[in-house]
Amino acid sequence: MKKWIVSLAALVAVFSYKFFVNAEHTTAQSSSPQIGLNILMSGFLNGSFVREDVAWSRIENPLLAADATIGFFTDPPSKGALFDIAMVLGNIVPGAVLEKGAYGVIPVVNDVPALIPGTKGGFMTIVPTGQPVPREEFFTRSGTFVVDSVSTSLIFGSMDLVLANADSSKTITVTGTFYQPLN
Amino acid sequence: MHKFDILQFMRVKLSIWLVVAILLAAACKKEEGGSACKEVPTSLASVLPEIEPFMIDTGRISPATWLGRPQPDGRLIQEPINLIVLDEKATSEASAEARLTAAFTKAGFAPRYGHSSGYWGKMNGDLYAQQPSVRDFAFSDYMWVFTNNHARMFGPYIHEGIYVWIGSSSRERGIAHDYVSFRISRDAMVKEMVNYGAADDAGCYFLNNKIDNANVSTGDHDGFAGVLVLK
Repeated sequence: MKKWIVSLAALVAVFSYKFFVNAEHTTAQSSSPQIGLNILMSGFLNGSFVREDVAWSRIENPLLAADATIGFFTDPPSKGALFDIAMVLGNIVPGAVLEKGAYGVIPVVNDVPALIPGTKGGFMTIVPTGQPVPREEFFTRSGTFVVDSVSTSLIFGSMDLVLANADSSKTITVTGTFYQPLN
Repeated sequence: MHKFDILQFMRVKLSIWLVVAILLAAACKKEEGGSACKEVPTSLASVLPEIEPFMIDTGRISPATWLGRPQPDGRLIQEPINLIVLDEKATSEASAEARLTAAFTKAGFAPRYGHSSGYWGKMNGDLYAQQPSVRDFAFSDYMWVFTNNHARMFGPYIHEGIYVWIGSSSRERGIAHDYVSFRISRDAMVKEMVNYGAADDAGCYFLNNKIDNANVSTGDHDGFAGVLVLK
């Protein structure tokens, strides 16, 4: 019996340690360029977070060039993290691709981004984890994304945003950077 | 070693082997049965119509193949029916639609934008339109920018006051809508429908719709549909 208890305790200890390491991994800060999102949040969610676990992809739309958009997103529900996050940038000019410069905030209504042809824009969505349904979701209301550099192999830049829930009773301010190899 | 110690040692060893054997048996059963769930009771199975086991793309009147996109292995992925919902309390087609939407919403899979639509399901040779019926909507747990579980339901087929819906549930990668899994999504929907009190899990129904050939596959689908009975 004692052996079983010791074994169980060892297993619990190992898993607890792994959970602790993963949790720290999502919240640790670093001075060198971090792949993924490196953000500071205040308001409904607070703290500094490095999310290396974001995947990236392009919107497939026959009206847009293949490299006209990029999106970063987590795989909800993210274990050991306070929130799931997604961010999309697009250059909605026919034939255009992503380029350096400022990208305004695109409003999102009922999951539909109000893309305005001929403009550059983006949006961010944050869903705090551990909520019962219906989950509260936060969408960008104001701010700017800046692409500092973009090539076929790398994109990086920054963001300074305010997100709010559906009735605007809660807000999250997000500042930070993104850095993503595209290979 | 003392005789008593040897006996005790043998007992412990035997216990370990028994535990290992039980775990192995459970693992094998899961692999063989797909989701290790019980078969749907005969009383419920008997009300089910003949089910065309794939979602239908009406543009081509053929099984839907994830918008015709080849997978990384070059094969097309055919979208199986992997969910069946029975409703004994609906009183009309309209109430059945409302109750279906309410149940999915209660479980965290509200109708959401960002999914191709207009597909059909076939029961007893008749085509049934998609729910949710709004263009570019499906029942989904997260916005399309995230990796999400989503489903399209078809029906209702009505038999002796029981409203039958069939559907295809799948997990896709965010933004690009790449296929991830059929099984994860189906199991998540069954689990959450039960957890949130929207439905009872009635077990699994074998539709024999697993494909794995040189040109087409059904991904990780196991050939079973999860069967839910709305509360």
